[in-house]
Amino acid sequence: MAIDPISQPSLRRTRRAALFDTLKEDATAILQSVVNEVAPTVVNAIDVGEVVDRVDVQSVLDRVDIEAIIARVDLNEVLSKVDVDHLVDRVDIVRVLVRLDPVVLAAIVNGVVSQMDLNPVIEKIDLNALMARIDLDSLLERVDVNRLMERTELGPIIASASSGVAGEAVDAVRSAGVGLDGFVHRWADRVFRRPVGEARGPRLLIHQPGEAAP
Amino acid sequence: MSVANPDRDVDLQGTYAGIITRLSGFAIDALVVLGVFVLAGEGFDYIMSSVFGADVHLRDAPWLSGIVLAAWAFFYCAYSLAAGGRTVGMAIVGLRAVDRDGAELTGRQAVIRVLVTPLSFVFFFAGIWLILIRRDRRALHDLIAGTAVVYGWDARAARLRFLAKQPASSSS
Repeated sequence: MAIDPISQPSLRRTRRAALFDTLKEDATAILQSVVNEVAPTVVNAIDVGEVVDRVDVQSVLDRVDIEAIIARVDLNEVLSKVDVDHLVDRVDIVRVLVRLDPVVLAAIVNGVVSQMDLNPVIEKIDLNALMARIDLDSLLERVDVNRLMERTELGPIIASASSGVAGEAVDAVRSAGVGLDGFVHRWADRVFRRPVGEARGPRLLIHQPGEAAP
Repeated sequence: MSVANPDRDVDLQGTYAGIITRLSGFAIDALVVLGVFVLAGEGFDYIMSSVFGADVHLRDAPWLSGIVLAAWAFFYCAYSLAAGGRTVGMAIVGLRAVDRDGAELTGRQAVIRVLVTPLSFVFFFAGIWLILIRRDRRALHDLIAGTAVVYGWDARAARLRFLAKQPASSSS
């Protein structure tokens, strides 16, 4: 006995669903074509500036709880994502320094310098090479000797240093006396079991160890 | 033991002076006092005999001579110390008398120091030996007068003189 396929219920349902799908796709295509035609016209007709003007921004902002938002932000996480090196690379330090107040700049430089350990830098400086590059002759030509003599004690020293044979004899006597004093008192220190050479001088003439200069 | 050492001498200025230089200065002062006294005595005798025709000799009156000599020695030392903090002998050996703290000597201290100096020479120079015994090298008359003696000459100029005498090759 032959079976009529149309009469089967499952087959009928399948065909009906296919029909609905076809209709839905056609309707969607028609609607899409209509929207494509109408939407630009509608958008062009709207004055966006007027719409924005009618929005009360202040009332919107009043309703926003900024503190609550900030409290919910994990700043550490944000900062951990920031590439500081990259940020610093992009900063033009020279431009920043030029814009700074000279007083502030001086304070920053003083603070930095006070924390710097200059000894390693100084140790690396080759003084011999530095001195070799200095033209001492041209430097000395620029020295005003007369002004230097007026401003320093060199004048009296040179005047007193240029005395004759008698001065040299007195120098020799004094120096010899000091040498003999040292010899005798070193022995006296040993005899009295004192630290050798501990004798210094009066408070106002000699800077005592551990004491500020008078 | 080095004798001439200008760099050392510059560093020693203002420090307590030792016994050798102090006694040397004292000896020079004694020679100056006695030399001037003898010359003045001879001058006095000459003037008395040539101007006044009197045969007067100071050496014939030892007590008077002694008093005059003591007065002259006192004036010479006290005036020198009060005026400049040093006598001629001290200046030659490069010494200076100061207050025990290092301040300038006052006239009162100078007078007291000179008056009590003879005490340092009694009992076998007991007061002088204190220069060796004490760390501040002060003798008995220094202790009584509240003074001290330090090295004090222009050692920087002496150093320049010393350097100027050195050959160019050794000074460079």
